[in-house]
Amino acid sequence: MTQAATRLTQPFGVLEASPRRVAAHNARLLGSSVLVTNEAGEHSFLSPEDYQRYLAGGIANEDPLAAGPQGLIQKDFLRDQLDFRHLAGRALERHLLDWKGPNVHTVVVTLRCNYKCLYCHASVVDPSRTDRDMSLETARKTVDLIFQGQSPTLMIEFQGGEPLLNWPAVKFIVRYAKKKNELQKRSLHFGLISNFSLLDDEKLDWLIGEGVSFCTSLDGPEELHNKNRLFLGGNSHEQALAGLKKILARRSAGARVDPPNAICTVTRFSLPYPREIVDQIVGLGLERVQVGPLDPIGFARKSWGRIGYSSREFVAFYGEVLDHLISLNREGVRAYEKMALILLIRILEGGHWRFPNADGVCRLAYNWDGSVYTCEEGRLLANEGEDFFKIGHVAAASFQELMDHPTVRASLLAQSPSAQPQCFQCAYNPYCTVLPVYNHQTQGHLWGHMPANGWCEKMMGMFDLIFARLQEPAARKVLESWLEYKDR
Amino acid sequence: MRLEIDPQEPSVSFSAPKSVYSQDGLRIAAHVFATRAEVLVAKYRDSYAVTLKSKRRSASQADLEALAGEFLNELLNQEYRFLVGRFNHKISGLIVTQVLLAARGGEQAVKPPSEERSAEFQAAVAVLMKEAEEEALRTMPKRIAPQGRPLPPAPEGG
Repeated sequence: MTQAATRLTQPFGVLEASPRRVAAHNARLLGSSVLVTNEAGEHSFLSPEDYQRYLAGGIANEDPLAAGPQGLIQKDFLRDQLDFRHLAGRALERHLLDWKGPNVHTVVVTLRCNYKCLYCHASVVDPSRTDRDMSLETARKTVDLIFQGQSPTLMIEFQGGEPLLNWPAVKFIVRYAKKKNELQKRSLHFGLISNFSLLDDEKLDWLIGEGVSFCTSLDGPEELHNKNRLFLGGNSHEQALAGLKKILARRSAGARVDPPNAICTVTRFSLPYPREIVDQIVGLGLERVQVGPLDPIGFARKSWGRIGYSSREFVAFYGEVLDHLISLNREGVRAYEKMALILLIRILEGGHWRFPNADGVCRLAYNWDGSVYTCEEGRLLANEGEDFFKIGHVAAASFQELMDHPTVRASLLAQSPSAQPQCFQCAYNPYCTVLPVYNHQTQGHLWGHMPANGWCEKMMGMFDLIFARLQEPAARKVLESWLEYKDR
Repeated sequence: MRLEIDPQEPSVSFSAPKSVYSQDGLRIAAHVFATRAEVLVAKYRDSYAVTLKSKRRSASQADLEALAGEFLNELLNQEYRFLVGRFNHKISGLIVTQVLLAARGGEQAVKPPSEERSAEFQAAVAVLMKEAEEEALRTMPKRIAPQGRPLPPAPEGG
């Protein structure tokens, strides 16, 4: 049995298995080991010989592979030893069976932007076009709708365009949501996704005072960043760094503000610079590195020929980012990669992060005009004239009507690995997510066609990288230490 | 599989056995390919005769072969999806229904706290609105339409 980064999800073909001892599982050959995973989200590495022994029902309960806290019994791989209480608990969490509805609400307060980024998903308009601003009445109805949901945690994320161009709406939403929350007592959070070019001291102090957290794009060294992100009035790299440094300075001075996030959107131009991109973020004193792949969705699809790349190229880039971060950690530098953390939580703890990713039921997006979408990517498609993911309007729909919308149900079904060809037999299925918007945009329907699906190829590649490193004790130790960041 | 190519149309035709492919699968695959080809299907006793008329007038023989190959892959994907869907439909249906029910907050809509309808709360919200409106008037760019209203068309030559 040998396998080199195959896309096949059943690389061993149909095998005979002991019906009494072998529980339902999927397998993948990784290097010289067989990775086995199951519905509970547990995983184990077996040698090919032990895997054959397992399939034949030849592993006794006393066998070192079966016994102990990391053994096959504890992890529910032996059918006559299944712990149904454990399995039920995991199923409840993994399948969001008691999930209280969307907790991440992306509010696009304006489509206006003073940048013209090469990949800008948002199909922005000129800063003078205030007819593309969210009105205060729409802002109020948006907050009302958000609070109709029952999630005990609410995160309202401001996006644009450049959200600071509609500062009155940002401020109003924060104040009004807090006013409502005086009665409702949710765990309420705000995030501002901004290019920081308009973040003056007055705005910064107000936002910090209200507990808003900050996020910006930092695409790498100056030349690369400025190539991707064209600022109509100056140097976008300088603006991003200045904003990040100001927030960090406030933090050092004792202000209660989360460390800012700097997200690198990876374009073709970024691929030669994985180490430089990491070093810049870590050099600022930030611990969270986030390298976000570009997807051919919305505006980015139009410029894909110039700035896009294959999934394999991204996976190779991501591998270098991951290895560089692991090396830095081993030298004593504390830093992690956000996507890796999300996947590690699913892999090592069997659950999901506080922001699971299921369109419609975990997150919603609100456009400037009050239209509601299953997710931000769905809204981006609408800007290109494709309204499939629109599920209502803040002035006309109740929260329950949004959840009852057929597109939410269809998206959820399409995200269910048990209904997806290839996914249902993939070893990474317990940890992976399907992106219906990506499928719809690139392959013409929600379910997509996984063998030729770029998202699937990228995810499989990233899982291969992470599981390969989990087999190396030193790298595993570093990756396990990243779990400490999950509650920050 | 034997492909019949007509470079003039340009189109490619082939036969899809009923033992493997269903009409539903063909319909969905045809929909997926709607932007690339016109899909014509004729039904016979044991098979479907499928013709893909490329929407690219300049499609070469290789393009048409690729089109047919990709269509057949999509067709297989759909058939496989039906198979997996039928096999797992009970559990997926249960999961999705339970998730949606939990996400919408149960069968009945949950009402906001009654205090939100009080005069005091409404007055406080009105103050917030007024302050925001004043800030918008004070700080937003001049010579533009009020928020949420479309700009008038630009004057000619302006």
